[in-house]
Amino acid sequence: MKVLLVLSVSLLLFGQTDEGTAVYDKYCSQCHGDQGAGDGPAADFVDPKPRDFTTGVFKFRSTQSGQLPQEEDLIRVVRDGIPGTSMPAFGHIGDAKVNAVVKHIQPFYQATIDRDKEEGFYPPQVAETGNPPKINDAKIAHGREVYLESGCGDCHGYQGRADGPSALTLVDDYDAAILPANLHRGWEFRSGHSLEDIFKAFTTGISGTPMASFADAISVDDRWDLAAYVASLSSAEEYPTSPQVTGALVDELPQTMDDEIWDTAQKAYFPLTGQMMWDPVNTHPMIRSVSVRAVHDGTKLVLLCEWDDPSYSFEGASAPEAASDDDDWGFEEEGSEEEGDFDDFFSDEEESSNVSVLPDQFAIQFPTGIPADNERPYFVMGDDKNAVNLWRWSHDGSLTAVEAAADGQTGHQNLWTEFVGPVSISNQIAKGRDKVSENSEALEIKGQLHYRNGQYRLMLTRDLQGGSDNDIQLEPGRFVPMLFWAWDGHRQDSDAKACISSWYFLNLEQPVDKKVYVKTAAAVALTLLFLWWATRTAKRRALEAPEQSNPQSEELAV
Amino acid sequence: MKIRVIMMGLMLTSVVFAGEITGVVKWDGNAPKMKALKMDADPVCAAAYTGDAARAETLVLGEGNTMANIFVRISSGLADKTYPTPSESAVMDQKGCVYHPHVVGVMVDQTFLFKNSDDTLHNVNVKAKENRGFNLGMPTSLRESEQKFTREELMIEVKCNVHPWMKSFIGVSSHPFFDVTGEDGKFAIKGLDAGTYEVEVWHEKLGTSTQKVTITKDESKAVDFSFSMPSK
Ligand SMILES: [Cu+2]
Repeated sequence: MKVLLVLSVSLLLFGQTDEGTAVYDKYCSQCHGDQGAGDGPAADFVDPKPRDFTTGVFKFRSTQSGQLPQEEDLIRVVRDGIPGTSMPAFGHIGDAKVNAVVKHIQPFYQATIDRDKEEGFYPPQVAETGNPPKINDAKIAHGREVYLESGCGDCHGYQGRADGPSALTLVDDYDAAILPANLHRGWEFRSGHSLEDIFKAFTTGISGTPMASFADAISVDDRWDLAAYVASLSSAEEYPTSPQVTGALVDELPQTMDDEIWDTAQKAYFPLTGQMMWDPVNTHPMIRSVSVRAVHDGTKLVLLCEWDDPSYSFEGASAPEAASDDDDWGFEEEGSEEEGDFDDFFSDEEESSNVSVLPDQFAIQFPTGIPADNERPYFVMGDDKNAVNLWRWSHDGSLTAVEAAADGQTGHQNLWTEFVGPVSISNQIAKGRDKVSENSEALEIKGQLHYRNGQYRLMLTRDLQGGSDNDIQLEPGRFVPMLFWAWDGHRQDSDAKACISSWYFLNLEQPVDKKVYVKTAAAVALTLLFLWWATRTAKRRALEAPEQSNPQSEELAV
Repeated sequence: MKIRVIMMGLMLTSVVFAGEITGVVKWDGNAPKMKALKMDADPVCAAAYTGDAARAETLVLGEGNTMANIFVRISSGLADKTYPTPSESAVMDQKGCVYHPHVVGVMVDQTFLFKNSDDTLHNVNVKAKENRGFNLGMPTSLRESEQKFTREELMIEVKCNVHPWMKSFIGVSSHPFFDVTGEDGKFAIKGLDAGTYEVEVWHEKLGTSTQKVTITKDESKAVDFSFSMPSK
């Protein structure tokens, strides 16, 4: 009786309403649990884990480190969702319901509210921000200095591609591995990508993660400059997906990746998602897009592919591991005469904090021979009827390290990772996942690779025509289906556990001629039809697999 | 003014006349060699060790297997009253990418000073549960930061995410009767009235153990503790 009374009083006091309860039970409890402890039946299937409200720790705040969020902060998360996680946007249920459910979760962290009230931190204090300044190049350049001086690059990397020396060892407060944000992908920022959002992220910190508060360490003005620099690295919206990459006809082929020709070439952006058709599926695709440029001279094709991978992994290499707080006592393994006591205790322990990794890989997939007009092989490595031709690179570690920062900046050398060299590209035929073989008498594919600070660039050169029957035959004016694969060896990607794109097209420009227009129009129509189909499939897939967070399928739907 | 005089008087009394519990904490077992910390990810850290490398501090032993970094406190038997908060700060420095000290005690509401003596970024991730946890970025532009813990909490883990080997512990006590052992394993808890007390020792991996001690007025009594490797 007493309990009931207390319960109903607290319900009254803290604004739990029938509406809030209904909304919570309908949309939230599956993951966040009946009592908000983050232990709903679906909790095990989502990563990152759903928030446990009872801890009173909330990631996204406009308030100072160590304080609760404002109600508006919570409303925003519910309304807009969190990109890259399983937390969807609930704006469609309407403001009234969003507000009600935010009120509903309050009692779950009542203990924290009471404590903060007692200590004068409730209602929470909003972190001081001042007014956002007008951005100019000088501010961005100064922000870059603040970035390096404040140690942001230790995790986020020299150029912001999440490849800093501490990046791979990071863990959240539950000791689960966590990655720093790649600052070149603003649309994936979990706490938002406006200038104010970016400012807020390093002002308040992101509770429960390694992202600290820099409110005391960096002045407000410097923080705005830092925000301007971070914002300058990427667009707030994901780049539009290109239906094709057009290879311009050039007189002279580029000899290097830095050739000026590339500046004028169309840069096509292709999103990648986790491979979900076979086991082992890839629920957390690390490589989420590839940018591709192409040129040809009527005889040879040169492709330039770029993708971000924060970890440089090759056959036989090892890498630092997420520093989870296990039972490691930090005893040295050697010194055998003294070990007696510890053997039992440590028998199941790994010797070092380094893990061995698999090689990073990349592949471009084409149909074989002369591509049929409107037929594409099965997108996951073809099948018995329709084979595919793979141009595949696997990192054997044979690159040369480039010392020191190439842009002349001194200091911060430890943030610099650069390797360059020729690489061998295997030419393969696949008739399905298990039927991959080397393509005999195939055309040679020349490869050059450059890795710098979290980004791979791979330049491939091949004759347009000739080779075996299985080699894709390229001809200016003909649309050739192409698809991309990428494997992040550090995440133990290999085989089916891969990142994959949809089918797109390679279109090599030909000297102008009347017939082209007709052909091109038909191909464009086909492309549009395909995109529509791909979108529908992606949507359907997303619906069938609700636990898979897949922001890109949403983007495709545009 | 009057109050201050009385306070001074009280403190003097406590130092000179009150009882104390002292002791030594020892490791019962072979002394393992601790892993050298690999700091090459951050050259600033690595450069701090030209000779001997820093080693893991899970177990820090002195001569004769005495144990350092043991948080010792009176866990029961004290009169139910509020004790004055010391005016000096408890300090934890980040130096050579290691926390100094590794374990530190502080009283509720006493000022706690985090220092960064290194020319690199540390983040002080204070994983408090009773207190308000926070994660303070300390680049070279922030050499010192004063904080306060408002509730008793034993113990709070502090970590640096930039340097994953960096870990330390803060014991927030509601009373002043605590100590942390040095390499000689010695502790001394002073200023106790006559009574029966429970003395608790804490180690970051081995947990706590306690002993009951009765002291008479102004008596000094020794009580030793030992830890050993838990059987699996
Ligand atoms: Cu550190």
